[in-house]
Amino acid sequence: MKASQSQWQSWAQMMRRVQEGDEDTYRTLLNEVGPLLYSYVRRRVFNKSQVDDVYQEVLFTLHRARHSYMADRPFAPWLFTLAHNAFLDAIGKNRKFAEREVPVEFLPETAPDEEKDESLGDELQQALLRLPESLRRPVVMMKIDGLTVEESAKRLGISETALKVRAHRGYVRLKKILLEKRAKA
Amino acid sequence: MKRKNQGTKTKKGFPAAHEGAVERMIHGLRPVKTPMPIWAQWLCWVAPVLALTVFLLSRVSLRDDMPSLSPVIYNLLVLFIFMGAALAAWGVLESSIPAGEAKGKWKTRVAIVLYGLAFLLFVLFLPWDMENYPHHPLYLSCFVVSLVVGLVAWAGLGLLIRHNAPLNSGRTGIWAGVSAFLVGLGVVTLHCGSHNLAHVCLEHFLPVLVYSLLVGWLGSRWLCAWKRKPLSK
Repeated sequence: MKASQSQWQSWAQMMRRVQEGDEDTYRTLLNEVGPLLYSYVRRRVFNKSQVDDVYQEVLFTLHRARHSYMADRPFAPWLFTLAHNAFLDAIGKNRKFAEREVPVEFLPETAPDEEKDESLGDELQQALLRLPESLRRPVVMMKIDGLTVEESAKRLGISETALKVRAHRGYVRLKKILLEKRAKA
Repeated sequence: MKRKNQGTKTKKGFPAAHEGAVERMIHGLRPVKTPMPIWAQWLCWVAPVLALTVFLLSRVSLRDDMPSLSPVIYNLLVLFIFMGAALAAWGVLESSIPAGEAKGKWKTRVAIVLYGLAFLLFVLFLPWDMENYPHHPLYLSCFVVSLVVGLVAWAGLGLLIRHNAPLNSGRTGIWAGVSAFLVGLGVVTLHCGSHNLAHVCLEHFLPVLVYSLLVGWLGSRWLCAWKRKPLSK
């Protein structure tokens, strides 16, 4: 899902009004930006049962940090940096919670293919989380979100060449992590 | 294969959780105070810190071995230390605004390089010895002075950062510490005339790194208060 330059500018103006306490504009802004953020979260969270929780956490983080948007700065990097950070925080919380969970004795019946698919998702997600942030974001944006080089570079606020270099390093590192994990298993 | 347990959605692209979350966020929405421009925040920190430094140096004497030092090297060393402090403060203030991390990062890195250069200037070009480790029977040790000055400067910087929205509060705390304790190092360098290498390493330069790491822990608790704010006041 992509937004045009004029849309981003309009959202930046709306954000300024939100900072002044305009409720209607806030509702409109959230309804317009919501699908974009939801799509961002859905492409990163491979465990589908967590998607809604993480999305809600992203919205709340955005709300708590709404004062920090500076009118002279572009809106997109601010929004996605917050969303990305909230996503990492939420995933971290969920992982800690999962570690404390008591395993049930009898697992409910599930389709084998689906289970296999979930574990593959978890494995990839864990490998992605082991990448440093500077490499993870280009990989996720270009390979999972399917954004173009231009769009990804714009969101990260770096040059296209730098993005390509980081993405390449990210793939190499990701491949190494996954291979190591497979070898251990 | 299509997954069965996709999140429930009310309309296209929206999960069921969206409406509820939006209502909670909009309820009791109030105007918020936006952060000052970075340069204004930086000036708000630099001016009192400069005043504190001048006040402290007016109460205690400047080092008494000035004639034996090369003025160019000594001035350069002091300049590197204070420039490092100012640059790190600017960098950390920039980094504490979401999406400003990349802009702030290089400044904090240059501050560390300046700190390293200051140390090299001392070791390579200023006179030092391995004897006469100074004792401070009447006055505070250099590392205590550095701690007190640095903590005051760090608290001031922390108050400014806290109003922004630092995403990694621990790291922000450390970089703010580098800036603040470089001020402490600057004050101590202007005051203490010891030429003992062990003293200068242990009580002047090393505390900058040690204290910065310690306040990083404090920062991880204190600077992320914005993440715990209730949704509506």
